[in-house]
This record gives sequence, structure tokens and C-alpha cells, in this order.
Amino acid sequence: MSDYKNRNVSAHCETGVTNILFEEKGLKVSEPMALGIGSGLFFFYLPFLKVMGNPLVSYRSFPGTIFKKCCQRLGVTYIVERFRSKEKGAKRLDNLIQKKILVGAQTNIYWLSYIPKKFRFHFNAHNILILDKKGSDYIVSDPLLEEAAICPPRSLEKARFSKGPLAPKGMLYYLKNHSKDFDYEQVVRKGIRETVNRMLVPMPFIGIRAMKSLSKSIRKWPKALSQRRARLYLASVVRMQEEIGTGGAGFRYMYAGFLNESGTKLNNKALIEASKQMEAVADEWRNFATLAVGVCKERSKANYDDVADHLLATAAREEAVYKYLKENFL
Amino acid sequence: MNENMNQLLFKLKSDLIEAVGAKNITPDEIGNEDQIFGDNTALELDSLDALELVTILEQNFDLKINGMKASRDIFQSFNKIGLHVLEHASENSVKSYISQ
Repeated sequence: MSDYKNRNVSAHCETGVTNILFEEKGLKVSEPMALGIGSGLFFFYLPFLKVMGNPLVSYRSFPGTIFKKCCQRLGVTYIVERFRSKEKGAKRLDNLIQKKILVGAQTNIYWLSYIPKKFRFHFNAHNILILDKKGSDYIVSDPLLEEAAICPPRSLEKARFSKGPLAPKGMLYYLKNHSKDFDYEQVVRKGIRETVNRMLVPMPFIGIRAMKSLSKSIRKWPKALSQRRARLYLASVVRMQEEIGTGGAGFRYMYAGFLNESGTKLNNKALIEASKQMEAVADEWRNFATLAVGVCKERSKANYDDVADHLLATAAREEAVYKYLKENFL
Repeated sequence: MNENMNQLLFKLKSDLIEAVGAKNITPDEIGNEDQIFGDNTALELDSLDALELVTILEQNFDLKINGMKASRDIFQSFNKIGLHVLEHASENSVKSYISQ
């Protein structure tokens, strides 16, 4: 596949695809900037909603929203298309390729045949770029791979029309055009304001309060569940934090990068300071994950209470960063 | 392979064996080019164990490994990890790690 440069080497698929689509239109928006402007940082815990048997924990906003909000805030016109018919979905994709339009696609990673089997799992919100079509095969760029890959049509069709939570429904997205001018500070401010407001909202399953709810649950799991189930739940919390393109520590490292980049561009000391604080929070999330893995694998003397305590402390530190941003930047 | 790299890889393997609590295996039994993660590997590590490696690299060399691509590239084999450390970590941190 040496004829094609992989366009999408990134820490996280949605911000990576956003970054490349913008670059194609002459707009430089780094991955951390896409995360921040698109208000991608989040936390929610829905114990009553199970995904693959585990309570849903998410460290980011709903898939697709980072791209959309980035476009809206930067004055970029974008098109998102979904399809009921697989045939129409394939035809439309071919049509866009013919017009030489760079297209993002939402897929289920499990059906992408070019991904080694050991890395495949059912995840419906994996974003890739479609570069071209050779014969009946598609040439795609995927953040998981070093080089562009060949994807047979059947594989891409299954990946685009996979069923289940967050089903892609053949989703394709691409940019139309953009306004040349935007107020950078305004855009950054909007992105941060939404994140701060959401994280500080006093609702039990959203933001900082959700971290506290999760901490309570973790404390209860070893008493309320079988040992195996409790371990699976805790492992799932860690996996959502450290895998599936989170950039590490549940996107907190990447968000620290956004605050730092914005602070430098706007020459704003409060943002630089917040970036340092958020990096320290990210370190604490990583320590939390390490502690939790030790408990899951019975490698350490720590127990579920210790993990819950660490989460509470981390939540308090993260809350302090949002309050700092609210007082000193917003 | 130079002596520095040999010592570095030996120490990294020892630390990982200790961190994951693997029994009945010595660093010499793990090939430098062997895959680290998966069912049919010497240590049979899964994705959660990757955090132990991340922690070893952060604590000893102040190296941050973030993002799925970075970790999958670097954690393919001990040789790759060693090369990454030698390329990105300070000479002093490597020396002090080896001599621990």
C-alpha cells in the first residue's frame, strides 16, 4: 500500500479523522484542539445500562459530537449522511470517492478484516478515512495501522452497517467549505465552557458527581457481586479509560495538551496553569487504573475500598481544575 | 546488540515479571523479538497488563506512552521498547535504571 500515505496516524480515531479532514481544507486543528474545541472531555456512569455485560462508563462525549461541534464552532460546513439501505450506502460512498472527496466513516472495528484478529472487538464508533477504491476494494486509512490498508467491500459493508449500541447506520461524513475567519479565543472559550458546565452539573450520573457515584459502586461491588463479576466490572472501568483510543487516562492527557496549546496561542497564563493541573489529574487517573488492575488481578494488597478512595480523591482534583477554569478563564 | 541494550532489556523484563507476578519464568526465557501480549506468549499478558509497562517507563524514564497507536507500536517486543527508551529517555535515567 506504498502508493497511499496513511492519513490518520493518531491517538484517537474521531479527533484524528477530524484533524485530517480539516487539514485537507487548509485548516490546522491538532487532535488535542479538536478534543477541546469539540468539548469531547466528559464523564458519565450509567450503572443501569450495560454494554457487553458491564455498566456503561465513558470518559468522553457521545461519538460523533466532537467532529460536529468542532465544525460548528469553527464555521465549517459539514455533511453527515446515514443510510437504511446497504446498497445505497455503498453507491454513495463510491460516488464521493469518484468526486475525490475525502470521507470519514463510522464503523464497527470487529468487521474490519485488515485489523489483526487479536485487536478486534465489537465497538461501533471506530472512525476511519476512505482514501480511494481500486477494483472492488477500498483503500482506507485507520489510526490503528501504520500504513493505508485494503478493505474488501463485504468487510466495509459489515463494519458500516453493524447493529447494536451506537450503530453506525452506514454513516459517512465530509467537509464542504469553511469561513476564513473565526475568533480563536471565542471558539476555545465555547469549548471549555461546555466542558466545565457539564462536568460540574449536579446530576448523579454526569460529570464529577458521576465519578463519586462510581466510587460508591466500586465500594459495593465486592459485597454485592460475585468475585468474578466485581473484577470484570472494575476491569471494564479501566479498559474504557486506557483503551479504544483514549489517549491515556480517559482523554485527560489529551485535554491537558489542548489547554496548553490554547494557552500558548492566546498567551493566557490561566490556561497554561490549568493544563499543568489537568496533567496532574491525568497522572492520578493512571494511578487509579494501575491500582484497579492490581486489585482485578489480585497482585496488590489494595482492595476495592482503596480504589474507591483513590477515585474520590481524583474526582476532587479534577473538580478543582474546572472551578479554576471557571474563575480564571470563563 | 550492545551491552547497554542487553542490560536494559534484562532489567525491563525482570521488572515486568515482578510487576505482573509471573511465576516460574526468568528474563532469559523471554526473547527480545517475541510478542509481549497475547495467549501464546511467555508472560500471557492482556491489555490491562500494558499499564504495568506504562508505569515502569513513566517512573523510571519519565516517558509518557499515550494513545493506542503509540502503545501498540512500542509494546510489540522488548527490542522495540528498548529502542524507544534509548531514543527518548535521558542517558542518565537509563544508566541509573540499569545500575539499580
